[in-house]
Amino acid sequence: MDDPGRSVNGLLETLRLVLLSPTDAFRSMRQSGDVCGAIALLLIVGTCGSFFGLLWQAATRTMVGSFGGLNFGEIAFANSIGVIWFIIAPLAVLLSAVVTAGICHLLLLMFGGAPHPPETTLKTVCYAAGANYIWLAVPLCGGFLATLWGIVTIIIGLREAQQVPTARAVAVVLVPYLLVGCCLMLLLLVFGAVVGTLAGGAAG
Amino acid sequence: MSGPGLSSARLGRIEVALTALVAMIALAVAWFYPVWEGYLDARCPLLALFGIPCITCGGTRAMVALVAGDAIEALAWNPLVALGGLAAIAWLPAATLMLLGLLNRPRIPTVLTTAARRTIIGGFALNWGYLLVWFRG
Repeated sequence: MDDPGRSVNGLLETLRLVLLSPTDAFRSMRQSGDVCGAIALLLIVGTCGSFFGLLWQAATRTMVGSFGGLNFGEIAFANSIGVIWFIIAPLAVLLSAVVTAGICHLLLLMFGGAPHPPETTLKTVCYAAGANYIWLAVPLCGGFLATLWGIVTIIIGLREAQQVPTARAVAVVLVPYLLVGCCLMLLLLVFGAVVGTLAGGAAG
Repeated sequence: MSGPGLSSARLGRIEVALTALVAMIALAVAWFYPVWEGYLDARCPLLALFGIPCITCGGTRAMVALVAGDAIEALAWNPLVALGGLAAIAWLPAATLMLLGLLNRPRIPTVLTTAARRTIIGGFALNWGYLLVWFRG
């Protein structure tokens, strides 16, 4: 995978490789250097993807707002928040990638080690997460596609770039989601217990 | 952290700069809390619904107390986040010196020792245990 930040063709080819042949893409990625190229791809695709994502959100908000009887001023105010989000989008996608890479690298270390330096993890996350922002151009299900394929791409990327077993890469990416899921399970258990108690009280 | 038999790699300049950026923004967001406080009502659903704090509960108040100079109150709200905030404050000048070449960049091990792993897991568990007691009171 060449440095994609220097030409449009290089960028498109990198996107095609990362999204459609992630195994080959990350296997051919250089483990060190070229972090700037990966960050450039993340910023370009992330900002463009965020623009479309916010556009679809604004369109949905406008439709729902007009059906709900909101006036033009109220809808415009709600959509102006989207403009602020678009202005800070490059910073937000960069911070998100850095924090994700940090968590992934820490979990790699926790689960048996990361043979390559944090730079490799950062590059992998930048390419994988950055390329998947393109899905946000798809209305309605773009966010879902970006999240789902983003998880798959980061798992494949970490496996190939860090040269760790698939199970470790899966654990590294899914453990944070599982922790959130456990919190939700806890919520469901408490909810179930409350409903059970109320139902028992009503029957008694 | 690097011991006999453990290999490590030096943190790159870009990673140092990016982590400093994250630290700076985290502190700036806490500093400007009074500005955005009214616009974002982000409460922990777990705490709001069931009175059970999550591991980051009290984190915002800890950071706000920390940037206001009250480290004790920050530690009381969420010790782990407060320590993270103190690390962020310490990291900014250190990162500047590293980027200027006046300080060596830290080495990150490729494998963590069992003791280090236990310390990290234990730290998170202790923090959550403390929060369960703190938020009950």
